Amino acid sequence: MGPWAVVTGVAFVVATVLALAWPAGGLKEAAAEIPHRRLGETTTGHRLAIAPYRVTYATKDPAPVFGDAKAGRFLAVELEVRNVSDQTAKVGDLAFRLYLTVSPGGSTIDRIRDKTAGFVIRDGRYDRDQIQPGLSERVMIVYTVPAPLPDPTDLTVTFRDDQYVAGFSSELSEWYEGPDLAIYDLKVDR
Amino acid sequence: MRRAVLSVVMGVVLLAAIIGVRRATPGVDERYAPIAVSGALGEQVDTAAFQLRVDRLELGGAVRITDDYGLTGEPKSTAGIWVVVWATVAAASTSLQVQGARLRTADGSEYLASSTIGTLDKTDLSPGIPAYGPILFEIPPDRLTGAVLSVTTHSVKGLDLLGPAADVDLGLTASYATGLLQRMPPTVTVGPVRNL
Amino acid sequence: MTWVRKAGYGLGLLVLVPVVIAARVLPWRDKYETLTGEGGRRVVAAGGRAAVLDGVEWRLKSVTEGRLADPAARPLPPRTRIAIVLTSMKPLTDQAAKKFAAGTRDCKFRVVDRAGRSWPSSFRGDLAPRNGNAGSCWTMDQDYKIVPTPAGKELTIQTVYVVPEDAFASLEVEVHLGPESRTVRLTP
Repeated sequence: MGPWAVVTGVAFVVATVLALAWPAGGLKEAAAEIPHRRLGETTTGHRLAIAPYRVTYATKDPAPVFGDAKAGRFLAVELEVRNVSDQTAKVGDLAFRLYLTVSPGGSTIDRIRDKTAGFVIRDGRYDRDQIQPGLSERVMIVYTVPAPLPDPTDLTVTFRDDQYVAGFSSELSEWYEGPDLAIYDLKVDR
Repeated sequence: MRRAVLSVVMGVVLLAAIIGVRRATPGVDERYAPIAVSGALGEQVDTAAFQLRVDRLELGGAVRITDDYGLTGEPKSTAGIWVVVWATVAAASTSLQVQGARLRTADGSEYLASSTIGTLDKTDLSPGIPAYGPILFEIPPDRLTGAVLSVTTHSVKGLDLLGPAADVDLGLTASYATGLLQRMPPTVTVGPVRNL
Repeated sequence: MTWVRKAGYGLGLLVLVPVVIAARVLPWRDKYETLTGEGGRRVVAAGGRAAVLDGVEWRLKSVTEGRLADPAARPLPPRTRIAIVLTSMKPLTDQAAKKFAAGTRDCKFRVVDRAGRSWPSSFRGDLAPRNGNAGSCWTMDQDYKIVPTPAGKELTIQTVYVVPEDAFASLEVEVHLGPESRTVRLTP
């Protein structure tokens, strides 16, 4: 067996390993531990950068659509949000990537079922929902606290990233769920 | 030996060719992108589904929208600036809306028209009944230069696969954009959409 | 290789290529039909004659011009007219009536002109008085429950359109029946 055969064999093995590992992301370093953050601290993802600035518990709807505010148990999360992507986003897109747990009890608030409103706070009205690329908005997302849970004093919000990739539910590129970016440990005001 | 060197060179060239072809192959988003007809400010752009003419351009720090009954709403502010594109649109053969109105800025960002109702992009359009009205965009002021209007019939890209589109050059050169920004009024009142 | 074998390969290719293309294209065709509602079964009737689709008889009774009665009403777009279209449907058998009531309640009306341009029926209620006609392929009772049309009974349906003046003279009516994507086309 000549030296060329050895060179070819080694090159083949190296190329095969690279070809398989590269697309799979195997050459990237392992994900770091998810950082814990506090009120006012910014986390930047691929689509949005967020900085929560207030969490309040209220017994009246903080964002009534028509007329008087309904009575109930509401949790309002207010955030400074910047769209760092190149496409228009909506408050609903952000709400979809926030996973909430309340204490005492450590129960989950369903990010879809328990959400009652999500909007941009502008001009004292709640009728806007778009966050345009390169612009920052103050945003409020309102949830109802499910009946069996005690009045919350603490809120943990896990912010998950978005990735613009093709080939999941359709052939086209769309925003899909990425890895967790940060866990916010927040006090609930009332 | 010469033959061996030649083989290596050939291998490298072929590898480079493979990489080149893979890089040059359009991605799925380009292959299924809407089929756009280009035009400029003041020109009529004819697509398979609609005709569009951008008539003029206006900026504002805030917008007030007048509805069908002549009532003018409260000012709507923005973190950037409002770009108001006044255009005339007519459906070609079936009724539709031009909800996929986007401002594509020079950095590649795409700004979907404001979700505010009462604008041209939220209006039902029927064949033979053209409509004239405003389309509203919110953008950072430093991205105005070079912005191009792109119009399709759906706001969701997945519904516009190989669909009709109009790309309109708004003529926003650096000097024109600067001039517009300098003359920008604090508030502009727009609407309502009118049938012509 | 003999020429017979070569011809065999050639013929094989002639069959295989269309099969492969069909396998790629036909599912898309299906998707397209579902998405656009085009390409399904079609029945055409001209000159006021009746069209029969799945045991239901369809007839175009009249296309007349309407007028805005209320002077304070929202004006029409310039150079347009109101077209009031009366269409009738009659299930011919009990079976057809039952099938129609169960499956094809979803019906959409539109008018099409000679140039192939189409207009959906208008939502505006102030364009023409109803005169006791139904507004779609079914009627409702006092409790807003849908009342199926029995076999042999004719239901007159009134739909109203705002169309450009130049389209008015050549209007035809199309009733699109979902979800099986069927179309009835009626010409005056």
